[in-house]
Amino acid sequence: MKKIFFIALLLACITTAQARAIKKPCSPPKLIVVIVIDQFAYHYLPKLSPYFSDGFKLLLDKGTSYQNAHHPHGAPSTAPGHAGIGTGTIPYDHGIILNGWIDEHGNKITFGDDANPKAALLSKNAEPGEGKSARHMQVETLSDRAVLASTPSQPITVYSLSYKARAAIGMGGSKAHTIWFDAPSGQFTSSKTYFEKLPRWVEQFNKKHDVSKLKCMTWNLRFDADCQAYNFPFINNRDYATYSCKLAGNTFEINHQATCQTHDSDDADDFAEVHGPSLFLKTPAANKLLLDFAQECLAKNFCRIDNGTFLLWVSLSSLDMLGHKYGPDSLEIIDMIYHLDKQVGSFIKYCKKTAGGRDTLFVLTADHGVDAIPEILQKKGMSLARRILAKPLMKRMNAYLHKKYGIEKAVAYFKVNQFYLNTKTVPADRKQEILQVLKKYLLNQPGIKKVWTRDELLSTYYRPDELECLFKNQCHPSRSGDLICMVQPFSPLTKHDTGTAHRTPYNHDTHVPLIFYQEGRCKPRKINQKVWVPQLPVTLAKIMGIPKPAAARYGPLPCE
Amino acid sequence: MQKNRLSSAFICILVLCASLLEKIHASDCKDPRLTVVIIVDQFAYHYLPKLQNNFRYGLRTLFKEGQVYTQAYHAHGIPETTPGHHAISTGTLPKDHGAILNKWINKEYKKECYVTDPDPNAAVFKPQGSSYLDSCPEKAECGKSCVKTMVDGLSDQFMLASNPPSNRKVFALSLKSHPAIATANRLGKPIWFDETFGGFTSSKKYFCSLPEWVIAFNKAQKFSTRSHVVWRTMCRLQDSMYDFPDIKNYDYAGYNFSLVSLPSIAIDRKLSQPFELYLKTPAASQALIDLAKTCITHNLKKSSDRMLLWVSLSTLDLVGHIYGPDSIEAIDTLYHVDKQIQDLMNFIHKRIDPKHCLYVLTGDHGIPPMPELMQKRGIPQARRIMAQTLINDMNNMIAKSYSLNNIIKGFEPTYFIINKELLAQQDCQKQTAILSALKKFLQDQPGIKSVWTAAELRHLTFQPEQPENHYKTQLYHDRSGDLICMPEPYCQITTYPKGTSHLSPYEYDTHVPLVLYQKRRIAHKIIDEKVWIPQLPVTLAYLLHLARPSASTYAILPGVEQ
Repeated sequence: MKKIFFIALLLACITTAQARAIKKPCSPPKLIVVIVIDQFAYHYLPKLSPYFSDGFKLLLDKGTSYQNAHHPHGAPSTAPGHAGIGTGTIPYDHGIILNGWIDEHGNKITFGDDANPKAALLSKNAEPGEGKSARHMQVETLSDRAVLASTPSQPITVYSLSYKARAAIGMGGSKAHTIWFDAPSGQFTSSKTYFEKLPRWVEQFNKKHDVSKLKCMTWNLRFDADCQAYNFPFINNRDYATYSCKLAGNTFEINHQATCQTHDSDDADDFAEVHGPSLFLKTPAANKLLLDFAQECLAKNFCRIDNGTFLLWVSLSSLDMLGHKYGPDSLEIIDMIYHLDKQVGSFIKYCKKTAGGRDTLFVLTADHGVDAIPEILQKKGMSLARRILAKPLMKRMNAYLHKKYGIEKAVAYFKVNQFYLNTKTVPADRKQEILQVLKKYLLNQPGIKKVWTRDELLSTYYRPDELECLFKNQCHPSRSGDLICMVQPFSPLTKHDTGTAHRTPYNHDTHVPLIFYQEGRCKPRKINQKVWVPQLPVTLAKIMGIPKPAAARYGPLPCE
Repeated sequence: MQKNRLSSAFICILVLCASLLEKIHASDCKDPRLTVVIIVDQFAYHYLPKLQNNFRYGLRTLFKEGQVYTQAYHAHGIPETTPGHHAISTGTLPKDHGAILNKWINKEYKKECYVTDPDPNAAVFKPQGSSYLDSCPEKAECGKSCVKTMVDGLSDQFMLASNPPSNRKVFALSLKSHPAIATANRLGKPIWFDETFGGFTSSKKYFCSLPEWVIAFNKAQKFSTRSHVVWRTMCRLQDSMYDFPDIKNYDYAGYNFSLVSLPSIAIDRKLSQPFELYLKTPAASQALIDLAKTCITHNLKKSSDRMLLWVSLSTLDLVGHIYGPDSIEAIDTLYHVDKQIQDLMNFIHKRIDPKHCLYVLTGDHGIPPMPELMQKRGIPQARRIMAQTLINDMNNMIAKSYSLNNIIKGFEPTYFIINKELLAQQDCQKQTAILSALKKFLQDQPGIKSVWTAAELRHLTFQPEQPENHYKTQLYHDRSGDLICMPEPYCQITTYPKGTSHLSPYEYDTHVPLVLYQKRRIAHKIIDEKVWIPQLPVTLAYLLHLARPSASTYAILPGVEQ
């Protein structure tokens, strides 16, 4: 009898425990952390994952990994990437076609800039008229939707943190607590759009971690210098990098001009920047600082959540800032990723400790990938690779048009694969003819594969899996250029004569990691099915039990 | 009781050990030392239901033990060797990789071969080692490279992932130059057979000088002195393996003699291409297999070395065009290929643990039966449409109606080239009228289903599965024709009065076998889901832990897990 009673008790306990285990993941997790690593291309994973031992290894081994996740736009960059992650849709809808663009009147627009006093910066050194908001976004974000869905009984708190304002705003939209970094002052900041005044905990953190006072930095390698983890071809080649100085494994003075030379004649501004405090932003220490800031954010704000959800977006920008200068084959980038492995691991541990492992959902992804430096690819034998310099090309286009039509400076601007005609000098009645002439001219340039006028692209149908469709997704009736170019693989059309970028529809630029991890919810599995990154906010909305962002085009991710 | 418990515990330990060992094995064989992609040129899927029971060797092993995709298709409307091999190596379609056909007509109305490269740095070597350019400077056009491929491929990504001390090598071997070059991409090493001098060769684009092991192989094979070759069938001709209708019907074949029946096949050095017949025999196929073995021996030495080896067996295609898929020549060639693949696998497994070898088997395109044979079998719509007749008729019609001579400048399967300068001289209305008249003429021909101008095709919308879509994705700026024709099933628009060719988007031309096999990693499975061949390189990139070819938008094949 005793035996039967004991067995029944045991069975009851097991059943209850199982029921709890099953029930728990169905309710929204208390803490959702979305880590976006700027420029973290998928191609780093097969190359570097054997050397991961901490956070990335945990996510890859224990999480649900979407191995075929792509951004759906043809010229990936930070603002459209983060806006896609934030809104669940494409640039045609959300309007953030690039980091900046030219408006119909020929004015240069930077995503996030807002001169309205209601959006004034909260930095001490901010000039009048300097402000930031999400006014350029034409649709709501998941963060907006979450804040609107918040109720006293089920409160939802959303923070969006990044070094770049465009990244933080792309994810945070109008309603999240959005905080970014002001490079000139070396302080985290925000604008009146998001806070009446800078929260006390931010001010205290800034005081404690004043980057502007940094004089000297040491970048210690994650592993021993002779470790196999660094045994890659061209890892120490800086011939085509924007900066000639070695940062990784080095000690450098931040204001000592002689330590570093720039190779890029077009990069004078950046040259000044490299010696300023923003050099700090291109080091693993910057990632550590942002993750510390995120921890502080949780420490000061998560405890206020009782029965609700805390959604924390963290966009780590340093890999992108460094990657443009040194390229994905460099020691700097590879070591920064090894550091990120460890830093993300520590951050995950902290979050689990704060909210509980079974109550914390982690998502890891990226806003875009990156291509190798074309000259290094050429050295590796990839003769297809070439750098197409935009400024000389624009000069040649203007000279050609001047000779043919007598029009001065007919092409006024170049912005990431797009040319804008000069609205003042090009007669409206000849615009279409001139566009066709330029189109033909561009198609004869080596490395350029396709050219569309904006109207052609908007009116042509492409299937979603065609590369051309990614350009169509990014085309906006009033923000896109008059001519849009698609280049051949490994042929960036760029303003810079050194370094690298991510401006093509090819896998190295669009394919990114996408991993979900929550104890008890996500099984360790790898999903090969092709998915789009803007499915992420839709999936999070489903997990949080709130409506998806209003303009989201996509469905939730499979098996989530 | 105690004994029972002990034996239960022992069994449990055994089971645990076995599962642990299995796991160790599984992790141990993850990264194959050698990946062999065998492409049998013109290996249509329709051969399988007919011949599969007669396969006894390598093909049998692959189909019995590998992961078999029963619905694998090429996704272009005019399947040929060059676009087929590009799909397999780059994971893209002609609209992206640019190699729309084996050759096309350029802006100057000249035929341009995919492989030719006028750059002296792409000069081809004679099989003895010196280059063509060294001995005959006028042959500057004898250069070959993949300069016209506009994307990167799996071979490129394999080499770009080089990470010392592991030594990575890619070799692409074929009897023809275009399959070898198409699969080697820019960073692999293609080696092919030189029909003029006899022997395997490559170009300066890939090697400073022809490797010693290739020169030695050519010498050992005695290509320079060989006078004839004998075709020995796999079985006696009376065997049931050859008991098929029309197997010895030569009425419509490109040659009026049977290669199988000849007592010996001459290598006549008086001809411009003395090895033309040799290449159509199983002996040529065996030479390629032997070259693959030599290549492995010389280039895969250390256990840390990794090799991607493409072997494109061209003989079936060379024979199939002449004799058709029903012929004894084509069928016996496949039986030989069966045995030759086993021969290669046996050789490899003596050197490398089978669990470290990943094999892939597929075809670059299929083949239709000869249209005349189909008519005889009661398919009345089957027909051969002679392209030159159509050109003459169209030119006569336009000359008569508009007084313009030679408006059609040429034909490459299955499109016509218009004299654009002549057309541009006419006013807009006349241009439209001429184009409409030409289209209508073609549309009215029996056996032609659809006709588009390139501009029309570019702007039409089709479902991905529609055969029409496969014509659209085969368009490439400055390389495609002006009037593109889609034939009815079993109709061929061709320049050849005899033989057969693969020029349509239909089942027999686009459906090919696809098998993946790696012992202990990829178990036997039949997958009936429809898949596309460009998914293969993406899948291989995944299995080999590489970045995928950069322009491929295809997904990994179903049923493949790490």
